[in-house]
Amino acid sequence: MRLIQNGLLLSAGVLVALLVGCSSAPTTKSQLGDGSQNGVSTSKAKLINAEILNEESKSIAVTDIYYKKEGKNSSFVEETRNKSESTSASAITPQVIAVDADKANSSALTGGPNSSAFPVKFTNLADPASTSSIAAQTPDANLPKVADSPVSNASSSASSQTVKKSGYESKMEYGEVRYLASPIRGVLINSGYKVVQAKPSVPTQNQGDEYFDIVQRIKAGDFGDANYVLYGVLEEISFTDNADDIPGTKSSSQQVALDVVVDFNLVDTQTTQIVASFIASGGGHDVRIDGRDNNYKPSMAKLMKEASLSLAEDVAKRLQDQNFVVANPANDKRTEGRNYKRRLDDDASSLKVYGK
Amino acid sequence: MNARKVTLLAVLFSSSFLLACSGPQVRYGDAKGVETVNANYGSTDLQMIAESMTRSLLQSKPISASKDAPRVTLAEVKNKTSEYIDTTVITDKIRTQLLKSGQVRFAVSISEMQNQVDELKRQNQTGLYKSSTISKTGNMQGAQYRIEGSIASIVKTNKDVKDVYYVFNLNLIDNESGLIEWADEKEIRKTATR
Amino acid sequence: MKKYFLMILSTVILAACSSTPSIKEMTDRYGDTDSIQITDMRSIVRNGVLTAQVTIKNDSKSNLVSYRFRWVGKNGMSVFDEESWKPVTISKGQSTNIIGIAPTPDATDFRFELNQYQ
Repeated sequence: MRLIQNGLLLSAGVLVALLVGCSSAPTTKSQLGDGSQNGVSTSKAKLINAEILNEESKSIAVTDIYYKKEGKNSSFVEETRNKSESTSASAITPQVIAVDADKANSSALTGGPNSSAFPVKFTNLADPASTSSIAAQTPDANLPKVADSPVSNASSSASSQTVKKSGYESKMEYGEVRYLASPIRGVLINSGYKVVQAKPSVPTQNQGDEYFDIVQRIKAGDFGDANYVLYGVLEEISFTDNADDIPGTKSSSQQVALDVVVDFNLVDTQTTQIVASFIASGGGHDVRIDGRDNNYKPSMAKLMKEASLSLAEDVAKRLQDQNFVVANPANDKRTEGRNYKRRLDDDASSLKVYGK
Repeated sequence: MNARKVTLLAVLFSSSFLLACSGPQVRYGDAKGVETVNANYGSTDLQMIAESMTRSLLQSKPISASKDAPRVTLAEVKNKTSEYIDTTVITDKIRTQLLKSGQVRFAVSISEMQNQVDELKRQNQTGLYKSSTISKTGNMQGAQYRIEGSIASIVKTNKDVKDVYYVFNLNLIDNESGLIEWADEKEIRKTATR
Repeated sequence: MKKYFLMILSTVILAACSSTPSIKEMTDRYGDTDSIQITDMRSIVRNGVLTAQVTIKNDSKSNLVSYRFRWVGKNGMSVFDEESWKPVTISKGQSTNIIGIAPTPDATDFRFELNQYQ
């Protein structure tokens, strides 16, 4: 009897344990979404100091971005010779047919649609040896003026002869733009390169395209002991200003952009071999609601800053493809602003079930 | 005798009060209850449509299979019936239920843009706000999908019966590729006998 | 002796059945719905969301009934507002499948409610 009773108690205890074990609600196996509100892993950015850059880091020089600006104006010379018995006078009136400024300048580096920051000086085509600038310093004349001929002689026989010579005058300007290269140097420093100062390159008189000859500059020692030289040529800079309606509203939006496209080459100084070559572009944008209606004047400084920063981002991406630059997770903006799915956050320890 | 009179008077008074109060009354009904006043479009139809579309959307691939909550916006639901139906109420209900589920993010629709633009203009362009505390123009998030649909009806009447059949179609369209990622429909039939 | 055996048997049965509640426990009936029998009830998680399927059969003439689901999360707390009552038309002897999909992935359990209308 005792044994049976003990056996019963034991089995009852086991069954109670089973009941307790099975009474917990079956957990759903699929838990979609990680429920974390802030799943961004904030990996610490590599802190680069001059001390950390050791002897083995490669050194690189980044030149300021070169540019070449071309302008063309069409011009003609009109020569009127008046012959009479007593005098013979000729009046040479040089004319400049003022082409629209945005046609004369193939690019306006300081921005602005009709920038006349690049004045085209007229040289006397009729007299090439002459260096004196004649009174054609009126490049904004819209109509070709016919100057008054100062000669008029009262004589019986007079003949006048007019000769017109026309042609194009083109002018080229070479130089370096400073602001675009600095964020690129920053990107390279963050990837562990030693950045060497490049000597500024000054264009000479009558400079031709040999301004862009990088091998000559390497041989001349402009870049110190750099292992690589990254140099770029500014191909085009464009300033656009567009306005459009915003659907569903009574307003319009004016979008102003400054876009820059630069052609880069990365040269190994020892072998003068091009190790990387790409085109990178960057742009600064500004948007203004109802800007057209209210005569919005955009800030060129802000656009230039944004253009240079986005150009550096693009250069970093291109160099990553060629394994020159290490991807820095702190710079990866793609993890910002992720839209996470939200789950209920019930604190199970605070559950209270009230009795009847 | 007096007691009897008193009780009789009491009964008379109470019955007259009851009669007086049996006129028009106001009571709160059940907002979720089935409504069968007539065969036109009613609250139960609205609730059934919104609920079945929401639940079906939650199970659809773009929403259930993506790790992040997808961004959706509402586009137009056309009313192709002959009745007056406010279709934005249906889409607002769907949007509310989806937002409460936490699985979808919604972007303001075209009809709500005026308020958004006015607020952005106020913060960015008046110069009155501290620049570190403003919401900047140019940072709105665009929607990946949009929801649009239509409701149509077939009404047939004869001398005894009016039969109304509604079909509500809803599509989830990818804004970039133009593909329809999900579509569902809900059919409702109501019959009124005279 | 027999009493003890009965005790053991009943506890065994209880232990076996405690994992899934019965259809009766999952259903709440309001109004007069005696003619409707629930023949099958099952649920599964489909595409991350709890989906319940209930098969109801109409035994007698009255065929106007409305239903709704009540969704419950972990700890028995409700996860969503009350649903609206949805009317179903079933003829005599007909059985129909009712499918309910949870409003959020947080729902882990449900209750089925039946009501008459009109």
